[in-house]
Amino acid sequence: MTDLTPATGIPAGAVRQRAPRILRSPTAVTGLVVLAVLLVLALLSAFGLLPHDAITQEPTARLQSPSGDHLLGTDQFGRDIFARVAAGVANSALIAVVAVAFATVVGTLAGLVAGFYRGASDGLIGGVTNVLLAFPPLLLALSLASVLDRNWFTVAVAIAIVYVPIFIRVTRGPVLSLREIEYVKAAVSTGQSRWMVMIRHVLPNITSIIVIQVALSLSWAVLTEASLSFLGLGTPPPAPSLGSMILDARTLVYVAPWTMIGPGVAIVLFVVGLNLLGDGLRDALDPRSRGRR
Amino acid sequence: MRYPFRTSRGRRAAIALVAALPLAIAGCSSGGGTSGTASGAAGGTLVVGVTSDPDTLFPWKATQFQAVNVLQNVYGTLTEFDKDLRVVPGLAKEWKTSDGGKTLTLTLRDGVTFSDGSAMDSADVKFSLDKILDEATAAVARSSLASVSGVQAPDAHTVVLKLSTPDAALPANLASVNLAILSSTDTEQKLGSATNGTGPYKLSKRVASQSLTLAKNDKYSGADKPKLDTIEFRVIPDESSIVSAMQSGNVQLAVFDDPLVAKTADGGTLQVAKTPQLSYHVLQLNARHGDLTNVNVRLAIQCAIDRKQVLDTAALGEGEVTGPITAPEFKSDPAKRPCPERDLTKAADYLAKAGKPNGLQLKGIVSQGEYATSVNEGQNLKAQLAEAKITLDLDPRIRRVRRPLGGRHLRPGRRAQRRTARSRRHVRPVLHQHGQPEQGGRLQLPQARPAVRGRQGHHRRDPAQADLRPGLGRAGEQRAVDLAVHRLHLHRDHHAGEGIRPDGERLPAVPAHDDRQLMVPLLLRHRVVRRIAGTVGTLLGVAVFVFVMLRAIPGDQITAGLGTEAAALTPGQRDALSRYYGLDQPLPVQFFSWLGNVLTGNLGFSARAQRSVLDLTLSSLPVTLELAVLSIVLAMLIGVPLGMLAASKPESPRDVVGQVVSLAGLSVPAFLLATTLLSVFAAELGFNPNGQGFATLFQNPALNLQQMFMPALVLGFGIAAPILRTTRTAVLDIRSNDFIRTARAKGVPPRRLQVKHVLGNALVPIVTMTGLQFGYLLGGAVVVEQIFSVPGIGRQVLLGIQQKEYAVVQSTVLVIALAFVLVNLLTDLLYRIIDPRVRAS
Repeated sequence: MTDLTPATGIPAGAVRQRAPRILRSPTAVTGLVVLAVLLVLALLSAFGLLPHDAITQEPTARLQSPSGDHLLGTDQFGRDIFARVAAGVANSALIAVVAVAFATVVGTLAGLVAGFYRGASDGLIGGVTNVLLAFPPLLLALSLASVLDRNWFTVAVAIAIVYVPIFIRVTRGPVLSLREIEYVKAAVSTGQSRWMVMIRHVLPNITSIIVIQVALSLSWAVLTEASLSFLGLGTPPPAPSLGSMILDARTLVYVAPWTMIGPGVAIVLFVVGLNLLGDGLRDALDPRSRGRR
Repeated sequence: MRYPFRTSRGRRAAIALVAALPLAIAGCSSGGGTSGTASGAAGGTLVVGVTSDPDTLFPWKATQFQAVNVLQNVYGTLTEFDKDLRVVPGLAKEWKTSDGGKTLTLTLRDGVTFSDGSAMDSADVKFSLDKILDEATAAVARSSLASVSGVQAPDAHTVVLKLSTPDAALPANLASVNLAILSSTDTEQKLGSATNGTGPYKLSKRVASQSLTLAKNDKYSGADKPKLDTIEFRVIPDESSIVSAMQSGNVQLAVFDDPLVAKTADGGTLQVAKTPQLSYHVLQLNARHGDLTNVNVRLAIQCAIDRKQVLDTAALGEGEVTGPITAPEFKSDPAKRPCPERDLTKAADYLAKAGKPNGLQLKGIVSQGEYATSVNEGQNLKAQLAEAKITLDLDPRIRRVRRPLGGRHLRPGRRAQRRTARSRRHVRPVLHQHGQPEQGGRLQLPQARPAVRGRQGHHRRDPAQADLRPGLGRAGEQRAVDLAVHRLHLHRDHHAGEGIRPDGERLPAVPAHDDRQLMVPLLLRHRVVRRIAGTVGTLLGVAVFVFVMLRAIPGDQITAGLGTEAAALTPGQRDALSRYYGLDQPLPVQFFSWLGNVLTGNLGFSARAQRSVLDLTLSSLPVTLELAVLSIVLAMLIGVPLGMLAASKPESPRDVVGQVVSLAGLSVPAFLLATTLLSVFAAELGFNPNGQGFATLFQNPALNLQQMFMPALVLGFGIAAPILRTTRTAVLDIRSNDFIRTARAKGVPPRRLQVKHVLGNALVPIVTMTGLQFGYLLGGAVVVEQIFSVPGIGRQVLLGIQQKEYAVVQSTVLVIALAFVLVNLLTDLLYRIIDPRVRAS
């Protein structure tokens, strides 16, 4: 076993110390601004504060172009597209957050256990990870979503399962090295339970990696959720979902292009915001990136 | 699960028929002129765009829209409808009732023949009607003959139907293709793959899920001879793609059941014609179940729904609200109902009377595939009922016809064998992992050092690092670069024969431990063996996972596959099906029998496509692989030059361009880009090669490449981003090296420097990163293949999921995972071979 010395005194952690640097990164700030706008919209929709409802149909007001009353026009059922887009963003955000939260918790714990305890648990977790990683990600999400009941929670679970192995991988590596650090070894040898050592000493050091991974996973989760609903496997109608809105708009794009532009722009902005945030976080939190850009 | 509802709505519907001018002449050999309407010159091919294959060729079981559409041209019926939906003679030239309406005597036309040449006579009619009446046949139109108690054929041209009660609807019912007259020598089995009808066309060719071609029936005995030589029904899964195909002229005719879609096609060279269709859409309530047993609940539902709204919403008003009858002759008065207009207050009253003042919840099913607007109507009903506090949970189901057990459609399943899935941790080199380009943060390992400048005496490789598969995507790309560059520094002496030596620096060529040099050959073999063994273990785990996943279907495989018919299964039938599929056996037994089948090449059977899954896969997998290769080529053509451009001047506008492109590639979903491209190219530029039947690379390379161009572009754009970034990072890294500086000092021309030295070395991490994108390609192919109607393996999975053919899904997912794992393994091994430095370390 090699003798490890960390490159710097502070390995990957210390998010709090580096947090202000996040705000100095223009990419992160742009990302945050975009996300904040979308989040406000989503909250407004969730609390029903928008002028129109996302579900009520008005057959007489079908396929109207954008106007003062309907900012993004109406769809084939006369529903306000702006409200539906906001609700769709809320839906995507909910699913993405739930999925990534689940994946983070499960994946990080599994990665910690695998890296710290090694041995049989490492073997088992490693095997499961390999199996899950043997599938192309979207295909796995697709297959899982197709066999489970169709509601937002099962979609989130499907995405979470795809993402768990990634978090396992991301945490396991650093944990393997961190467990060799003197103070960790010392803590173990003084009789502290290995579990406590793991939580108290090892985990804080990998938080920045996890934070970055979370931001980037969120962007993938949003894309996957949209793809799944485009293929008809996401949240069932009439609940608005950006992917299914685009699916419906496909037949209408020649007569009513706003039915596609609204949700399309929303998805792209959402993912761009998350990607920028992830980039910015990485620049701020990852010491290795210093001096490279 | 009990289903108290079925949803449809009472109205008369209109079919919109969209035709491209000129009809029947475009895209064919003979027939010159461009006359605008149907009475043009004879001959030629008509291409009709359809969203799916007919699900059966057997007319007595055809309920699906596409099947009925096709079979109506092939088979004849005793009576027919004219364009105003009046009943006119068909194979029967006249009929009369007698005996108080309890006898119907039909006189058959003379000289009618089937397409195989045999003559049709009353024996064939009697055979057909008797068979339809026989419960064992499971004909869908059996109930239309409910009043028929006996069929007689007194002579060759007369058929007498004895009825138990007068039935005014019978002549109209006889016009349905589900009551087609078949030859007494034909069986369902024979007609499953070939046709033999009295109609103007016959089946000439069929490629499952792609196209079905009818040829003129020369023996057609009707007065109006068929004008077209062939009719091709081309499968384009998406209705809006059909519209695109029509606008670019690949498809000349399409029948849409959705007036909305037809409306969008109107204009330009496309003309929309309407033909009336008689069909009833009803909301059926199961009054024997749950809350619906209470009449007040049913009344509340009636009062909560405005049927005109349903009609307007889903069908643009193309129809009329009508009452609970089944023949046009007997209409009930809509005004004589408890709530002639929608009345939510009354609905609430009824609910209160039923003891449910706070509303209630109902489960219903929506039949899909029979007509396009069913789901829309269901949604509208749901929204209306929600306002009356009645929650309607709708489950879309495909209406399926029950197939008899033991028929050739079913392939028996599983045999047992015991084995355990071993999950083995195997050592894999750091560089090989798959992932999404948009995932992954950068890893920071305390001991990892980028670009060792050779100051240290040796580098250490932590075994932990060796079997780490770090985070994906960006982390991966950073690692790829780091380690590749790392090795570069380490093995400068071995650098590609350039003879460039760093001035005054000595580096050991291999890590410090000398004994490793001797062990290299042994290690290599050992590692490769371990790698392969690990892969086998993973594959077993994959098989277990796929098996478990698909057994987790709620409601089990049988009911899922049967759609709406599942509710009608008797317990005896359910047991028989269970035993047939082997579902009554313990789970491990099922698994091993399935696995045994898979390993011997029996991947199951697709009843829909009438082909084995192995057969389907062998034709679809190469298509997807071709798509993947082309995508990678395009991605590198986009990513590498842009990456080099960005790296040439970091932080400059060029760099920003690169970053923007990279961000766009990561953020724009493939389905959005694909849809936009298709719409723009087809509508604005008239370029839609995908509207034509798919051609493989060997059949027609030029067309094939055209058809693959847009899908490959979409997928390539998605993976161009990480390639761009890796190129940029790698080029920056390498350029900062001493040996580059030396080369420049020695006078190597800049172009050669860029290409040979910089790019040459950068290729290692670039190629590595590209290999990692294979996972994304296989996944993204599902969406892209659907939109561009490319018959690849992604589309096969999707079709299996949509048609609820879980055997197909199971086997196909397994095959894809296998392909994926093998590709990873191969790239791994290949990497070892092509890069000697990997072997040495």
